[in-house]
Amino acid sequence: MTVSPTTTNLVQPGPPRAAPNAGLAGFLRELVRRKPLGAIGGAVFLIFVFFGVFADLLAPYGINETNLRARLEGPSLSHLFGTDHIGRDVFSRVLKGAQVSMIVAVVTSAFATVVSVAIGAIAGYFGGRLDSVIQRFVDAWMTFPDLVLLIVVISVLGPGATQIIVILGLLYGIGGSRIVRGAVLSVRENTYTRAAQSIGAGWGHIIWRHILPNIAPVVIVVFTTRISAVILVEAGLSFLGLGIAAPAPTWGGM
Amino acid sequence: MTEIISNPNAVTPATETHPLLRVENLAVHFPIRAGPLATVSGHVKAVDGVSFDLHAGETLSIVGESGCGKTTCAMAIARLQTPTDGRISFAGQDITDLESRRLRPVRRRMQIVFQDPFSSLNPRMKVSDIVAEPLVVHGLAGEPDVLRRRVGDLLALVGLSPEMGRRYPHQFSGGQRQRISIARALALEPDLIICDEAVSALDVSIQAQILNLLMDLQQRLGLAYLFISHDLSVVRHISHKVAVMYLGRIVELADRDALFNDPQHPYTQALLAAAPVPDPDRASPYLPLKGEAPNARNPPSGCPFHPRCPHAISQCSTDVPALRQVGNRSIACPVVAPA
Repeated sequence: MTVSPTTTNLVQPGPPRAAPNAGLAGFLRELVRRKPLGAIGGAVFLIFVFFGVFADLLAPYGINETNLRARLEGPSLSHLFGTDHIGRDVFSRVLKGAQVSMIVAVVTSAFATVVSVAIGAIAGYFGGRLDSVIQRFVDAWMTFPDLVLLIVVISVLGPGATQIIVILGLLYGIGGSRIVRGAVLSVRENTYTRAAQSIGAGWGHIIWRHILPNIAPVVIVVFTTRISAVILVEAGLSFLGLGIAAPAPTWGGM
Repeated sequence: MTEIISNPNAVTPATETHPLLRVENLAVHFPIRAGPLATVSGHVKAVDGVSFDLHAGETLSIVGESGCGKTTCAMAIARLQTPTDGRISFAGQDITDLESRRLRPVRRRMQIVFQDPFSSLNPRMKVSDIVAEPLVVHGLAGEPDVLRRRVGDLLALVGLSPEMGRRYPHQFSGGQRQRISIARALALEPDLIICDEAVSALDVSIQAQILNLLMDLQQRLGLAYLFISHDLSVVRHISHKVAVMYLGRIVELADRDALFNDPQHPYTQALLAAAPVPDPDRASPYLPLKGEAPNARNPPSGCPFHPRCPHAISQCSTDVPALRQVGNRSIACPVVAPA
């Protein structure tokens, strides 16, 4: 068998590490000890999620509550992040904006991942002519500049979360199918795929039971990297006035 | 024992007219693509006109050096590789061109044990799920309780304890993994198991265990084996009949004892001479082979073996010898078995 080292790392799960302390507390202690950077990142992320989820309770002002006497104020104790040009409290809007940005990012990324896996798994598993046709389609698709496509579609349909989710999801999904396809190609060469064929399993069963579980690490990475990318693009669109419609707060639109 | 070992198909006596597996003129050619347009510039004839019969309860081994087409031949018979030409009949049914849906009942009776026990088991599946998979795929799983007992019986049949089903493949050694592969192959109570270099990846002591397990299962379940190997001592241990392949063709096919004690084809003689004899005073009676195996992309004309053959005559470089029945064997050589 000739399996390149990277392939092996991708698809072979290591033996599970023995956890000296059972339970959540033990797991957290192990995490901080073994992966301090990851633990810090996780903590920051969880704080953001916490504020996003409880934005409505934590926000000191209503998100669209204007106070024309206090416009464009600097940070102070009554307005932690100051106020904007019509006197809305920026801190409250940042909290609420986390909700919109994260929901759009996660939903878009999930949609993109489903598209990537569907296209990549079928192209990679069947290979041959079908794969060639799909890959040329993906090539053609990837020549469109993302932002231009988004601006065109949104100026026709109008701004909104649904438009962003569908268009960004398709853009990233079709582009990302390349990564999934590559992983499928390497997993498909394992003898267990042939063994499943020889048993008489159909392609749906083989992809679902044998291919997908073994490309899971790749799929997870595709999913998480897309989340940050979507947040940035959504911010850019909102800045251009093409993102989420006006009064709703988003990180990009503020 | 349990119902697993009762195999109704195995009891049917094999008749001369209906071998379990009949392969006729099987050929698998791979196109060689080259140049900027990937045009087909030739073919590698990995398997080129192989014919044999395999009867129920029998072990036929195919031996030959690396690249002679043994594994391609096995994969074509299992329909994991599309044959270019020839016919494959299984239990009287022509399976050469069966579409995948109609192939399923055939796959149920014909299973494969692969060479590499480290890549033939899905690392993300529990062993019990791996062994149960054939039953699930064919809709024979039944109640979870029944299935669990059955998987336990299968594991016990190959010498593993049923509790091991809860583990993952990486927690097993190579020999144990090969036993898991065998348990998976047995799940559907097949008539034929194709063993593609099934013991080559194992240590010698583990090889012996697996071979004895295979022979034991053959006696109990009436299995037939198509045994692909390059290891002559393994083949001698397990086979009833042996076919010797060279560059995609069978050059000699005989009962085990006839082939090992009295090899006739010059290549068979050379192959046996190449196997080490565990006795310094007993030299092999046959001449060692000169030269190297020819490139399969560009095989010699006539008999593929003639450039290396010590007995070659002029006819050998022009005519491809056919496999002829001579006495107790089939042989493809105009010198040893003239037409």
